[in-house]
Amino acid sequence: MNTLKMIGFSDVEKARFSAVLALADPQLKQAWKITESVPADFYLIKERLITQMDAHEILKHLPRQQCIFIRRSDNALIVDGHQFFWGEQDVPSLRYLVEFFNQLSDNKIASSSPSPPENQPTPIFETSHFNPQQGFLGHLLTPAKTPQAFKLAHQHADLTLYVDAEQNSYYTKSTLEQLEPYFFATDTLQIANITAQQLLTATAGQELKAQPLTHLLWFTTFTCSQGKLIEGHQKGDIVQLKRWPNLNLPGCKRLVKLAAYMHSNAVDLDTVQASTGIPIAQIHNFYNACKVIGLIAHSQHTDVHEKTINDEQKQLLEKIGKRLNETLQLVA
Amino acid sequence: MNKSEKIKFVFTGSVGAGKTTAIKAISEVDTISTEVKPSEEIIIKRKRTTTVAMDYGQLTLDDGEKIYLYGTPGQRRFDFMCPILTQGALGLVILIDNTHEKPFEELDYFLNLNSAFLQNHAAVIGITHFDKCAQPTINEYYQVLEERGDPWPVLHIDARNPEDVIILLETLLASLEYL
Repeated sequence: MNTLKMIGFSDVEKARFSAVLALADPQLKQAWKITESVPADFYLIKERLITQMDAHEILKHLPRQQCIFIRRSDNALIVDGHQFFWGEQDVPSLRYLVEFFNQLSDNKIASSSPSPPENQPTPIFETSHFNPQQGFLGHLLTPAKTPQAFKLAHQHADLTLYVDAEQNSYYTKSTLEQLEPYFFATDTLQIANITAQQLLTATAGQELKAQPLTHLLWFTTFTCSQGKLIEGHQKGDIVQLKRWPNLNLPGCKRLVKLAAYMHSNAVDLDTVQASTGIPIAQIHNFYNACKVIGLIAHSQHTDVHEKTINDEQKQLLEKIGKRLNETLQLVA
Repeated sequence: MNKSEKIKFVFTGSVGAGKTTAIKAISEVDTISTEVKPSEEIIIKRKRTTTVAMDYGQLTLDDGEKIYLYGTPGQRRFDFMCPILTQGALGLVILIDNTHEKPFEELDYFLNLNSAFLQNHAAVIGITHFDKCAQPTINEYYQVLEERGDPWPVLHIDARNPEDVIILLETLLASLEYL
């Protein structure tokens, strides 16, 4: 058993990493356990702390050969110690994690670390388009044809998720972000049909409240799309948002501008990108998520809402947006 | 948006919805509130004091320009203040307390009260106290808005949380730009 202490991570980030580590467990040569205690066998250190290693009261005493530094990009600071390539996504690559921790266990890592995996994030669906009928999302969508209740569990981790397809609800103790690592667990999910009575007993016993299934569907699709456009969408399709998605969902709040634009205009996605400046990958993630829960309308004709806002007004809105963002950084 | 006019956002909604709290959460100056003991029976049950004229707060832009944050009084007898306060405003934040007996009626009321303003300006709807009462749902609010033909976005927020209030205003900015 190797112990690993995470330094500089939020509770959500720790929970995500812990979940991915649990998924990796069957493939790891040794068991790994996240600990809050010191000393630990290894220390996983957030990238923002790298520059403080020599000055920080606690960090400066950590043996470098036991430090694992997170790298988000190929241009990250070079530092003595092990370097774990996390990439830009919210969870690290499972495949890379397994390789990295197995090498640590074998003590084969000395002065170099494994090369960053190609094509980050590792796509779970090896196609050019996103297929929502696979994996975790596929399990959620399939009962739409034969409504029933079912339970999703994970072979190696403490996931319990109940879905009432008839009532379009789901029940779980986890937040949406905490469920994220399971979205990519294609082989280790277990699904079991349950009766309405069994569902009632289980959810009442665990005091679980019903939540709209559309929230889970939206967030799962948004996360799993990884920039790919959903199958069945043709380039040039003219689309419009029929209704706002739930802006409180993780990832959605930061795409309010995209939602506002797509709510007002019936255009193709390339025009959305050109008009808003939002990267096409994010547009695809957002579009797929809204489409899966029925918020997208298709049109034969382009309909652009000519909002009369001149450059001066636009600059004013940008200044206000910048000021609000500064306040957000201060309070976060 | 005339450059010579003040840059202002107006927060409106029923008593106890969180208007004063929301402005206080993000204002860079101590907010000015004009409060009295409520007179309306229904209000007395909900709050010990209530805003009589308006709340005021502000933020400053990089170039020194001010963003003014105004909160309208919640009691019906002060409704005459609303068109005065919204005059020249960029947009409207309507806060609805989800624990209210009739939240949809409250939403209707404030949308109707400000209908003239909303002909040419944008609004965002913030649902407060969602943690205490999760019904009606956001979807149900959208159904009400669709029946009215209103395109405004809806979010649930904690008026005490600056991050939530800022996201509400950012949503309003996006609506101003595109809706």
